[in-house]
Amino acid sequence: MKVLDYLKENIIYLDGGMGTLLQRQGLKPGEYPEKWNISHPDVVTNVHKEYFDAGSNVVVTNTFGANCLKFSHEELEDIVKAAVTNAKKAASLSEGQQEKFVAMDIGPCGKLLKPYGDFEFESAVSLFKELASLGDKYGADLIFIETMSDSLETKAALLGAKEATGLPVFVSNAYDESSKLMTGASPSAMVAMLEAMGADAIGVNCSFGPDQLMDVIDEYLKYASIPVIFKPNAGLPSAVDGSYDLSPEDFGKDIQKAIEAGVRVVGGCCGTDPRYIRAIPKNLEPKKIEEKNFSLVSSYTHAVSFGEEPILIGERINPTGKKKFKEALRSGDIEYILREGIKQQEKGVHVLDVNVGLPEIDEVSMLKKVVYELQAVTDLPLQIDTMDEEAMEAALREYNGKAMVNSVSGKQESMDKVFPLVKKYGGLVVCLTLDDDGIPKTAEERVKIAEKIIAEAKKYGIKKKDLIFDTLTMAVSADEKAANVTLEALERIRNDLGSSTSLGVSNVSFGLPNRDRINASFFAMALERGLSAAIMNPNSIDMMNTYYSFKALKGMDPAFEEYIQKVTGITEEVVNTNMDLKEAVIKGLKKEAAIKAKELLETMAPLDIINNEIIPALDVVGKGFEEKKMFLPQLMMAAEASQEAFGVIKEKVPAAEETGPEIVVATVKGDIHDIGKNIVKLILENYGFKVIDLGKDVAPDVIAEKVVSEKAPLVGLSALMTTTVPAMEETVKLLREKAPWCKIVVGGAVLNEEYANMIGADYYGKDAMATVRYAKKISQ
Amino acid sequence: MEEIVLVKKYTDKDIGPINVKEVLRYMGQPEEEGLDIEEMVKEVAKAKLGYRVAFFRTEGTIFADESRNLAKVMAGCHSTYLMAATLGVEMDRLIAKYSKVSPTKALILDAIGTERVEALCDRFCLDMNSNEISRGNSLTKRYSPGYGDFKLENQAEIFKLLDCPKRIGLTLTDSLLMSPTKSVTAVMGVLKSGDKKPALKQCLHKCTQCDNLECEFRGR
Repeated sequence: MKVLDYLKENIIYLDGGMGTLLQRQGLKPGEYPEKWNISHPDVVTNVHKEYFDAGSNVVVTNTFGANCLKFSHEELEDIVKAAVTNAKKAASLSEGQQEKFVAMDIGPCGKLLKPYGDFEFESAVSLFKELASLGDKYGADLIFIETMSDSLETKAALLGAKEATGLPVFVSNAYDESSKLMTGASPSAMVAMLEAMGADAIGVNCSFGPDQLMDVIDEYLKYASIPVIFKPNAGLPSAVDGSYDLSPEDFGKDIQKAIEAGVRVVGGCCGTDPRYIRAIPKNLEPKKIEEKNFSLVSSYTHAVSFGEEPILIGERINPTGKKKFKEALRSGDIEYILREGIKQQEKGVHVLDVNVGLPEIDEVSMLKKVVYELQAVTDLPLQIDTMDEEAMEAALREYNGKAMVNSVSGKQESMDKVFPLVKKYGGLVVCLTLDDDGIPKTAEERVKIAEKIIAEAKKYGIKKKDLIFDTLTMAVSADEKAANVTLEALERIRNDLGSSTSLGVSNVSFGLPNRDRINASFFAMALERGLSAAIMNPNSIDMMNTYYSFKALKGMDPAFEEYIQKVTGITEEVVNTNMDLKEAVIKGLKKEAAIKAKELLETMAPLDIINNEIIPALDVVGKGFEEKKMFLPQLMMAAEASQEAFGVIKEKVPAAEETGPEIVVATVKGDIHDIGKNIVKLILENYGFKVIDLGKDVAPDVIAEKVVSEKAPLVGLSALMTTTVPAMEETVKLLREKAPWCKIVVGGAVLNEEYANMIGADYYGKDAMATVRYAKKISQ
Repeated sequence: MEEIVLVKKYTDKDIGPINVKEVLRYMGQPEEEGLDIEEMVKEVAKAKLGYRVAFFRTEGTIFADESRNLAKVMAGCHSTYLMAATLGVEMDRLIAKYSKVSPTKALILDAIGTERVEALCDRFCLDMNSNEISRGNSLTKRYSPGYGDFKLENQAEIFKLLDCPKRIGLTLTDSLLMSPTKSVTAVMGVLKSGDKKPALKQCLHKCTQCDNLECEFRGR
């Protein structure tokens, strides 16, 4: 019998701990237990057999820490082969009469993935792929991914397993005392992502004893429509000797409760042994798994549910009609885009739409990069918005969570392209109610298209709850009935089909004056008729006020707390305008600097403002810093204030753009600390230099390539640790070869002048001002 | 060694409020001078850092052969603590977010991160020290890879011994940097209380126990 067929009608009993049992047989701490598959096959086989004897249906192979970072590919293959063989042998040796299966066990790889660690997502996928295909090759019945404490690594493991084999894949995560993964994901976020990607069972292992994990399990049972796994520790470890405090009998009782609550796959983790598995009652009736109707998207921290309270999707990351945004895309100014994301989050949106399509840029690499970078600075779920299916796949693949997908339509070609991607990577898909014949004029026809899309999605196994319908907002200025049709279709889809809905609200006012007012009224009408989500501009006070008012009136805002705080709380900030621009910059006051610059622009030429106000202010601060009368944070605050002032001036007089030479800065390969490099960049920009920032952990050839392509006269390299100085030296060498004209300034905590000379740099920048002085010197 | 790795977890409350003076010192700034430290302190409070320490105590000394400086610290010790402490990735995320918004705020957060992880280590060492006092022992100061001649290369062994990725979610990059970045690994010696004056003097600033007189962050 296949394991999934068995699971349909039965509880599956897993095994318990392995490591401590091997230690009792002489495994030394620090020794790799995986090697015992080969060196002590009888011991390992016997542990498996004891579990089968105790009633386990599934034992997991002794391969938890086995991967190609620890072992050579040949060693790894030998280990997995021996491990599966040992487990299968145990199954045949055991006299237990139950159904028996062998699971290929896969644990975390021990590396943190980028952006916060140094391991590439695709390297992780390959690592897990290798393990899953070896398990498959040597005859495992299923893949068991466990003890994962990071959501992106969990995704890489599931994706790798699915790409490598057709075997069932069970996925289990380890939670901390705040009921989150070590890197922050909530249980509902994990359920959303893993179920949508097609895991066959999901759940929780390790972490704590069963009692402490019931909250997490309850959340799994609330959201999951697939079998839930529970494999906790034998209670809590003692602070003195690490022994666990729960007896087999108590453990068995707790697990029984979990089974009664609906868990379908049970076992034990650290501190458990065959007695614990024996203590779990085996005659329990499995609880039927109900289909849950939550429409979820998720990020690496939390899930957002559609269909309950209305959801706001920020529309500002989109070049349409935005000159500055287009410029940022063309010049690769990702920072500008990231700030748009952060700003919208602060305004209160729940999801960010991400559209970076411009005909003249490479959308595939740009969308992938923007999604990656956004996920380093915001924990909001993202809506991947593109017509290019290659870009869509690149973005969905590395997205950390379950994304929103914008969009599919009733056109056959569109569904053929988008649904396979949603099936593979998961997603909540925005479905436009138009088809090959265009946008229907009537609500009936739009509803029909929605039905067609639901039927087509079903063929792929994509559930209705993962579709959200956009009944298409048209400009009322072109057709006075347009809004009515949109709203009628919306209401019918919501009520008759029971689906969630979304609208791009702002289109309705196209061609009309005072657009915000019409938008906000249309938004209110749509909300009342059941709109689940709006793609909107959170900078519009009218729209935000409508949203908070609606929630207050609908009883979605207990005690009107949100309404009082957000709607009535909008007050102008008090700004001290009793100072001049120079003083505002010296004191590092951003708002004051911007206001004063604006005022001065009315009476003074832009260049005079820069030369007579801003530059003298910066000189005061720079000199104060060099004389140790002022300190680094003050230098930086002044720089930020002057940039605000520059920003105001540039807006009015684009010609005031910096024209100085371009300087390339980077933190070298292997180094993930970039705070010092960022400081130098800020101060350089402030002195009129155009800085190209390549970021952190940058390979020598990437730096050299940029220096050559930009003909940069100066490059700044940063390294924080002794272990990354060799990478700096290597970069210097390569630069000497490829860009002999370029001067090299180096800095960082471990460097000094002597060290800088030794690795062949031109200059040791002891701080940001020293680097500015040097840059000025060489640019003269 | 036959030691079992233990994990201790702390909350904001256990570690105590952020010491703004220390934060300013890490920033190289003697006075607050218009810096809004409080705003970032609030951000950190919202982030709910995960204060985690993995450690074990073992008989004899370890790593003393690797470093003469460490051997000096460990002289006369009969046992050793090995520890790894981390604030988790949340702190790195906050710093990264603010580096896009305001580099000054990112600098403040970076300094808060350093203050927090040091405070975590201090709290942990105090706990261990009080355990030891009841056994007639006391602890030496913490000594970390990267101090003096105790090479960073020892990190790989420490990570293996403490099983850091699994225990506390702390990983080592190929270039031996820790990620999450706001993390500390250290060795501490255990000596009989009568043998020598206890080296862990809570009344003195940590900097007074450090040999690096040139350090720009040295407390005054």
